[in-house]
Amino acid sequence: MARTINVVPQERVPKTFWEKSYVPEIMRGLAVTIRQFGRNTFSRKENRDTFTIEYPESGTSHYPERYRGRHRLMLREDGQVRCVACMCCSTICPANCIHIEAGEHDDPTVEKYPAVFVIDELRCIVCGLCVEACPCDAIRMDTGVHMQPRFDRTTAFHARDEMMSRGGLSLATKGGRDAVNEDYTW
Amino acid sequence: MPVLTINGTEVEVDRGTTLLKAAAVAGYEVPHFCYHPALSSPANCRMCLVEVEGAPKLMPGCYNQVNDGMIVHTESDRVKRARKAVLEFILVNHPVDCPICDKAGECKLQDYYFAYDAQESRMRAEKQHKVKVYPIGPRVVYDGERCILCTRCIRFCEEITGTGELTLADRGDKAEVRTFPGQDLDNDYSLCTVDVCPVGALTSRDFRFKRRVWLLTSTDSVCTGCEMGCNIHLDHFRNTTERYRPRYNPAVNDYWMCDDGRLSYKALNEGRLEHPMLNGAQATWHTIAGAAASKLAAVIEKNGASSVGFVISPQATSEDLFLAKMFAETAIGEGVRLFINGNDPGSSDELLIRADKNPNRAGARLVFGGLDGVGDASALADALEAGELEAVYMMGTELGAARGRVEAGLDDVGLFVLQAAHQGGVLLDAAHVALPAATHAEKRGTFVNCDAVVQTVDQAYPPNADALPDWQIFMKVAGAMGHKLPFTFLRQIQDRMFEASEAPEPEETATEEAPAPAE
Amino acid sequence: MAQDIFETIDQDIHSEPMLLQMGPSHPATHGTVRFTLLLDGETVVKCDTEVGYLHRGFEKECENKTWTQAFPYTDRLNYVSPLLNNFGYALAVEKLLELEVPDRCNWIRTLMGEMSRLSDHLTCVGAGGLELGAMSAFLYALEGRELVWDLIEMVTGARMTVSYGRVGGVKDDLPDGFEAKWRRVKERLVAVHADTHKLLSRNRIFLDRMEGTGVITQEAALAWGYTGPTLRSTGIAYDVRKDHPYFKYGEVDFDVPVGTKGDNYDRYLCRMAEIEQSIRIIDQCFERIEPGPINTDDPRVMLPEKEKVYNSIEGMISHFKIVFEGIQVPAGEVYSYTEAGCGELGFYIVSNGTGKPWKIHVRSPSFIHMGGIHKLLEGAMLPDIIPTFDTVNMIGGECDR
Repeated sequence: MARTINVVPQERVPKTFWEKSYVPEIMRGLAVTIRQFGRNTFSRKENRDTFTIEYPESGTSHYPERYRGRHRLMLREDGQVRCVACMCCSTICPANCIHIEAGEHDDPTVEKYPAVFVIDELRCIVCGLCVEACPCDAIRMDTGVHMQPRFDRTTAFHARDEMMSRGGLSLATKGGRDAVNEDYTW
Repeated sequence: MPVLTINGTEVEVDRGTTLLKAAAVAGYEVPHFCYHPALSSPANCRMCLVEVEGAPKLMPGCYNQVNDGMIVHTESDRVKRARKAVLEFILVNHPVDCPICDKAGECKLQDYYFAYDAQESRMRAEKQHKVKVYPIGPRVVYDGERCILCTRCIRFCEEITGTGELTLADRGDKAEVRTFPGQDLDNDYSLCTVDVCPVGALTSRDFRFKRRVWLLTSTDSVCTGCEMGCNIHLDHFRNTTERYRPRYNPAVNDYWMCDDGRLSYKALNEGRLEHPMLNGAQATWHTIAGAAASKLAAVIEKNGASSVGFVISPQATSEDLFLAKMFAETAIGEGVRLFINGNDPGSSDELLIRADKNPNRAGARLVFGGLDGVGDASALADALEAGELEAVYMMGTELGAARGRVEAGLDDVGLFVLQAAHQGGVLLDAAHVALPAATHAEKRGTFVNCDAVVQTVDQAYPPNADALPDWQIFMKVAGAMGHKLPFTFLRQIQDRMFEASEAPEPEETATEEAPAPAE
Repeated sequence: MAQDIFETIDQDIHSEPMLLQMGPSHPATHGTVRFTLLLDGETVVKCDTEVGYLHRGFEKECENKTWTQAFPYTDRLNYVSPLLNNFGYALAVEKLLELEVPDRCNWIRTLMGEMSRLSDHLTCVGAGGLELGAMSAFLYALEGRELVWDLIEMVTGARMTVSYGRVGGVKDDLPDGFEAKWRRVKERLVAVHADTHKLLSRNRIFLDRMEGTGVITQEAALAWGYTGPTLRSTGIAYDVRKDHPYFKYGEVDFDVPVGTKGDNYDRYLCRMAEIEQSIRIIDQCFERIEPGPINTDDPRVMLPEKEKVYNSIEGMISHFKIVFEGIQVPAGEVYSYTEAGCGELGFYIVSNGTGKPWKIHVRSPSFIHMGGIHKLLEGAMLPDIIPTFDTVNMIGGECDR
């Protein structure tokens, strides 16, 4: 294979007289910064280049769709938690921050549910592997809100009911029981 | 001896060997569901089909026997297509239950699908619905949808336990495993059906939803429920034993174990004595050994060795008992009154259950040279009631029917040292000195079973809280009493035991162990 | 009389070299590195480098995790260009698996990798300006970095700890509107880049501090194992993307900027030029990328599509086996190398045939650079340490793992 084509040595230009005298370059630099300053202070809002986001007033509305934030547990159509405590998320979590205890559900078609589901959001490294590992669309990180700072460490242990309160309808509510999903083309 | 060629490798096996076993000898795994080495071969799952040159159809490897000169292919295209087809048919009505099924992680359907199939589903209709979470027995739960109708459980109940509770009901795609009307799956080995079931159709009610199997670590150990000493896999997670599973040993328990023994793991976790206690207050090992030593020495000096009741436990390993003997002889002295406690005898059967519900009485017999001069728990109660004992040093808390009398008698005794893994209820309150011991899961040692087979238990996890193995506790107390017992490692104790037994040196035999047949 | 005074002043004052700890918490050391300097006046007589203050046991941790769980750990190696680490590691495991990924995946990896490289170089240039006192240049370069991070966040969901790479592909496809956003970002980025040039490149203060300092010869650079912009500044044109092409680097056009004198200014110029080349590569990727699958279809490696997992037992079984057992990588060892922001990033992976790695060793360019940096600093003056250390661009996470 052709080796080292397109090699471009960087030109080393010796300093010119004006460059050596400091001032013109400094003036050029100042021109750049003053122009930037003028544009950002005096021109109309749309023309400004200010990058600052007024947080928390303008909040987190600029987070993109895929932003990984706080966890939420999804719900079934009847409002119960979709999670069946299969432990895939706690197995794959690299930080071991998910603690689940399974319980017996009265409905034999549901059979298993998480009696205890606690995520230590302080240990969480926000990698999103738990969402990827969930086989039932029971946990998501798309709340669009990140973990808030707090004074008390115990409030960072998010329990099942709190995460369910942020939840929505799971995509997989019919998963397993009725195997035919008419909307999906194989 | 017929010679046949499997996948190009020539093997010579005995007459009557099946193709599946011959392939295993040659080093090739043939997947199977309904075949089990200890049960009859119905050849109904068709997963073990192999290609035999000259035969028009594929032959079930678990049933057909070898013939001289056979040429067998276990990995040909035809065989691979057959395996995919079999798995596809099994999965057609299999429910999407992996998240809620306890078998995930040790499920043969999962393993074989991933290894041999990995094709997508072509099923477009709704799956068959059958009974779920059916209490087929007091300890076993049945799920009809997951069942692949291999009939292993039915054959187990017929051929191994002889109780025959299970049968196949209905036909075709409505078939399910059921008990005969009015019966339950209630024999003493019902949980073995959970072991033989290749999928999650039969699951243990005790282990239900407790822990995911892939998080468990397995340690080779021995059940302590009775003197049979069935070999087990001790499955534990984060220093807690979660369940026992039988381990194959053709000399002892084959593939099975009884339900009582299987559930005896609970004792490892409940009611543990955690810290050394001195007169009811928590102490440390630094202070307790000296306290126990001085108290015991005081009693011996004042009343002589014959006023001390030394109670050994048939629950302890042989090494613990050997150290107990050395402790009794050197630290306490001649004339000490020996007793042996332990669980009372119970029922037995022709299969695996033995009457003596202690694992190591045979070991105690060997270490102490016979148990004739050693009284049992009721003899201890008699001695206490007669006021013959000023001090009692007891290993373990199993006292059987004599418990009430012994507890009453211990109230009056001057010094009661309890060295046990469990608190034993009132016994801990009565103890002046309590020394926490490790269970058999937390130490290495050997048990001798009823047929004189010596079996090793491996250490699964470090001792709970401040517990120590019994032999180390004896060394601490003896050392504090001025008698240093010269052991650091378990191996040294075993060597000394061997020397003391006057047994001849074993011959150097190079035994090639055949691998355990795949279940 | 005057004679006496002069003589006294001209006498040699007996002095000793001073020992100075340029300790691990120092604002000018990116990441935590400790230099024990023996100074004679302002000249560094001897320099002893001590690394390891950010050691977090990456290699040991990965021995207890599955192949997929190692990805968040690779993010935290060179944390200013996490995507390059992700993809370098994924490439290594794919080499062991002898796995081919689809075309679109390679285009995405090239594209996102170059965005990460932009982030790395902008940080280095900006921080360099900051440490020499040019704080506006720092803010401008970081504005460029913010724009790139917005793009990365749009694709991966996070700005820095992305966990985007997977064995056999990437986590998600590029979202809609990504190319349009890149066009807007590119305009501003090019403007910011030009502004940074204007502020720094011909400013005499900057030139005096950077020219002629931290000089490394070609022989020394090769002997000490330097790679990346540090090596290219000496004039040796070694770029892994050109010499051992991987992903789509063999099919896109870009230049390899090299220096001539091997000093700090050359490294700065190389990085500024590489920023332009990265933008060029990204444009070409966008032109040539075609719709298609982004992951390999090998069911033993990739998690099945979520619809199949929810609705079919086959998908569910595959999902479960890969999640709790990990990808079964055949036993063997491989060394795979890519061009990261600082140089040649190598992953030496040993597999024992199970779903967890037996050993992952990272050949980290920053660590190698720290091995030889005392040669650059000894004989130089104390203030020269700042631009030298900045342009060599040691990233603490990568150096110490």
